[in-house]
This record gives sequence, C-alpha cells and structure tokens, in this order.
Amino acid sequence: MNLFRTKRIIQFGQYAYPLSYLAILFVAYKWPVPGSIAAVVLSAGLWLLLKSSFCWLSKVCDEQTDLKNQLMQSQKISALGEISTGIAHEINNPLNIIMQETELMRVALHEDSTQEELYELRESLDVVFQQVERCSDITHKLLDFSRKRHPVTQTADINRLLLDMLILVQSETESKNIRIVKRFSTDIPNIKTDPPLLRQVFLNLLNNAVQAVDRDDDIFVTTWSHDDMVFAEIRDSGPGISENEIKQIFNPFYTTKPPGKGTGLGLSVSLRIVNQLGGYITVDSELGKGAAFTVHVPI
Amino acid sequence: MSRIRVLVVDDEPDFLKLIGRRLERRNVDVDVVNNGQEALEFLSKTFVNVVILDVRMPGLSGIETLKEIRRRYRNTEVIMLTGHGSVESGIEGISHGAYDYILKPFLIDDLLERIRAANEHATLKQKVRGGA
Repeated sequence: MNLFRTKRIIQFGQYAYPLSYLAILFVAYKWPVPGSIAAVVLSAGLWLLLKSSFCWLSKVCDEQTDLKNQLMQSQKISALGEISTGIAHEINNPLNIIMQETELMRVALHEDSTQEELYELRESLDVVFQQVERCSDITHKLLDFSRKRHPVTQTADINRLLLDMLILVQSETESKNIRIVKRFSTDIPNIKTDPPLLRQVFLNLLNNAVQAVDRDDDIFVTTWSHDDMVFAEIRDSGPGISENEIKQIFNPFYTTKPPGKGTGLGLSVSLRIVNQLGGYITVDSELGKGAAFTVHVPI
Repeated sequence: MSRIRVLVVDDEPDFLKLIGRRLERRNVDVDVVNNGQEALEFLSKTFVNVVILDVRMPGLSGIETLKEIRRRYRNTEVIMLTGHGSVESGIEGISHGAYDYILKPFLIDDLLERIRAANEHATLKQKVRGGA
C-alpha cells in the first residue's frame, strides 16, 4: 500500500514538479512579492510531500527485508529436508544390510554351530565390516563436503587447466568414441585462482558429461572471457535435465547414476568450490536437448 | 629463494634413477623411494616441499599414500604421476587433495613447471594459515 502511494507521488511528480517551478518562475517574474511568497509556500509543501513519501518508502524497505528473511528461512528448511532425505537414504542402505546379516548371524550362532554355520558367520562378519566401511566413507565425504577450504590464489591459465583434465578423461572418451570439441578462446587473460580446486571442478563436470552421453556423441568444451569474468562451458548432447531436476542437482547425495557409479556429491562440491573462488555455476538444459554447465570465475 | 625439495615415489628403479639425475641438474633437491611405505617413512624424518607420486604401485597404493601424506603433512603438496588417464583415480586423487596430475611420458620442463607451481601453492597456503 505504502509502495503504491509513493509510486503514484513520484509518477505524478515527474511532470508536476518541473512544471510548478516554471509556473513559479513566471509568477515571480510578473509579480515579485506574491511570487516569492508562493515559492516559499510551495517549497514547504513539496518538502512535506517528499518527506512523507520517504517515510513510506523506508517502511516498505523494512517490510521487504522481513519478507526476504522469511523466504530464506523457509528455503533453508526445505533444502535441509531434501539433504536429510539424501543422507538418510544413503546410510539406510548399508544399515539395512547390516541388520539382515546380524539376524542371520543370530540364527547361525549357537552352542553347537556346525563348521558350515561358522563359515557363514565369518562371511556375514565380512559383509558387516564392508558395510560399516561404506558408512564411514559416506561420513568422511560429508565432512569433506562441509570442510572449509582456504583457497590460495595463483596465476593460472584456464585453458591449460581444462586441457589437463581432458587428458584424464581421454581413455574413457576414446573407448566410447566420444568426440571432444574444444573451442578455446585464445585471448583469455590469466586468472587468479586456486588451480587444484578448479581442476577438481572441471574434472567433475567432464566426468558427468562423459557419463551422460552415448557412444559416438560430442562434448563441447568452450572458454571465453567477458569484462572481469572468465567462463568455461561443458556441453553434452546427453538426455538433458528436466526443470524439476535442475533444482535438485546441486543438492548433496542427489544422483541419477546407478548405485556405485556416483556419490551424488560431485556437483554440490563443485558449486561450493566455485562459490569459494568467488564465482558460480549455471546450468542450461532441457529434457532431450543435452546439458551445459558453465563455470563463471573472476579474473 | 631456497631450493625446492622433492621426493619421487615410483616402483620402477630405472625411472627413479633417470628422473633423479635430470631434476638434480635443474637445481632441485631430489630424493627417491620405491613405494608408498618408504615414502611415509622418509617424510617422517625429512621435510619435503613436493612429492611426485606414482598412482599405481604394489603395496600401499598411490591414493592411499596420498591420503596419508595429506593427513600428516599439510605443507607438502603432491603431484600424481600416471601411466594412463583414468577418470576414477583422477577424481579420487584430486578430491583427496592432489595438487596436479601429470601423464607419463612427460617433458622435464613441464614437470618442473608443475613442481614450481605446487611449491608456490604450499608456500601461499602456509601464509594464509599463518595470517588467519
């Protein structure tokens, strides 16, 4: 309501105020004394009007900050919910196996267990041990995810960093006959960044692209710079990502890969790293039209 | 500027001898060991700026050795050495804090440049931590 009133005043004012000055000028020119009185009265009126609209505006600003905080809080809660679901799912699978195995062990373990039952017990113990390791692997990865990295800035050539990581995916792309199309801008300035962290981001994105495409497909790797940012885009011609999924892909433990193929942490860790380097990652994708991930980092 | 101290870990004696000689000639202090276990023992006695670590070794694997080095010696950077590009070991190595990867065969200048960058990274990191 306040905002609306203020808007009306300013809208009206943009024509009325200059016109009123002209009118006063005219009156003051013709009749100096009443003209000056009119000018004083009018300026006082204007002052009152602007002061009240300023009051309304500041009220609106406060309201807006409140709304923003509320929205952020509810977003945080819903993100937390999604993340918890992911973690619970990830930990429940090994827990389930451990529970089944211990039940089996209860049956097999009694005073006169046969040789065969003892053998089964040993096997179950091995499985339990493996699953506990799997759980601790998950918690370690979580810790690593939340770890506060202290980026150290060195001079680096973004094309070079990408090329290095392309070499690591080369054996995979060659065996699937994937063509890597490099469109590197040659006039990109060197950037100040943390090279090993950025390498990790590029390798994660390249790995996702390689896993997303079929045999004989193309992956486009493009770099360019604009103003004080440099950009690296990795575009694949895979199945693409639906609008709904795009909201979730940066959540930890969100994965579409089959079990054992990915932890669901690659993108969330990458985004965290790029944020810590002062940049961000954008996604451009539609179902059936491939996906492009662009890393934006400051020079 | 002080000389960079490098430890090369590889299970191939011929390669170790050669790389040791070549780096020595480029004014780098080089020591060589044959496996991950020996590398950890060496590091417990001597401070090293940069470790060049072969990914595939019998006994303690390259990745396991890397994890231990990163856990115990935060001021030492590690460059992984690999005979073939492998995404999986790449992701594992880099997410466990390897500074860089280099593919065999490599040019000595290329390696040297990476060693220098890794050493600079370690020095800067120390400063950041000291200042924080």
